[in-house]
Amino acid sequence: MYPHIYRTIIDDVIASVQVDFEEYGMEEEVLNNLQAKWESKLLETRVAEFARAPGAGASSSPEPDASGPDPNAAGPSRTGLSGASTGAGANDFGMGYPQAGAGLPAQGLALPGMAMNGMRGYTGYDGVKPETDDILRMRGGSSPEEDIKPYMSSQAKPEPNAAGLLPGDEVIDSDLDDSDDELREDGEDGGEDGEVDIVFCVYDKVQRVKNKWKTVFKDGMIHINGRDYLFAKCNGEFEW
Amino acid sequence: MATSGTGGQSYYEFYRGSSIGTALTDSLDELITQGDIPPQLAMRVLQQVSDAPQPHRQAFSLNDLRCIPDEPQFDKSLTESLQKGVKTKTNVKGHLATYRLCDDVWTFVVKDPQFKMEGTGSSAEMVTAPRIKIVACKAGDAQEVKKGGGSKAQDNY
Repeated sequence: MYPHIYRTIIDDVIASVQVDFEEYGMEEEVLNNLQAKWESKLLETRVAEFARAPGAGASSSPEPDASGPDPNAAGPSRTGLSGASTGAGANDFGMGYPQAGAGLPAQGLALPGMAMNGMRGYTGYDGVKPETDDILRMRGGSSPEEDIKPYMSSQAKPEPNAAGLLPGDEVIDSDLDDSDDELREDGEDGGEDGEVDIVFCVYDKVQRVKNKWKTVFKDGMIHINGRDYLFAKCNGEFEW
Repeated sequence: MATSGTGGQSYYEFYRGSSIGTALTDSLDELITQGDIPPQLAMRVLQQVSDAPQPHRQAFSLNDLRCIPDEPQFDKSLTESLQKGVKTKTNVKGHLATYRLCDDVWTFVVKDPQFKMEGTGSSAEMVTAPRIKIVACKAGDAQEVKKGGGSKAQDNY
């Protein structure tokens, strides 16, 4: 809903920690790698609607043509994860992404396939086998994985990952399992799917009269039905 | 829970559980696992500790909610972006299944929540779900408990 906010946050963080990466003697591409991972994960985990249904609901950001020029084709020197993810980012964030090279040297972004394998294995996702395409596409819209595959296939081998899972043993949303468990403890039913609907916010006021609760929340991020909504203020009225 | 910032502004770490926060912490985790970056550097991304590397922070945990001084970069960027960049007002109604107040953190589990998300124009989007969990930390200027005046049945928190 607020792609430009996410864009702002990512850019702000990356720019701010650049000096830290230099202090630690990191190559510039490590930071670029972090940014690419961050963005691709963000797109991967929740924002299918960003790319696919810009007109849905209250989305107001001017959405560039989703079928815009493929950055991989436009810039052959940008390869691998970074090329794929920034391409998706340009469309899905709805903002001018610095794929034209604002501050990012294109040649420094090429990502070894090894790193990709590590990433796949760690998250428990299987980006290697073709049959996962549907799942990824369903969850992530124009999935970066599709673009990445050609670069991975040469080195990708089915090996158990850190969790001992072979490719094909799908663990969707493994990243969220912890909070999911926590959520289920709280209520009588947990829902069958792995979807976690949650709000992160701060409260200004929480008031109760008998079984009526009134709350004033601020600065919140709602994750509901697989989408994110942000709010400056949210009044809550609940019956217990 | 909170990390202090400059100018009395405080930044909460719990936003790291959000989509954008999870994407970042997972990415950092991977880079650490691959040996690309030291854990201390990851902590500085999240927390932007202003001094030299701190060896005692070796035990890296993304669920670590300790109070750590100085500016938390991600927490700071996110909080400030939310405060400055978001104007939307929202309402939510529903049945409160669980409520809990612990260490100034409210947790609500609401059944059949109905969110009314105000759009930019006159349009409002209704969003519903079977249930939702609301985790709310105390705002910097949250209203304190009022003494007297209210009926016995009323609680201000």
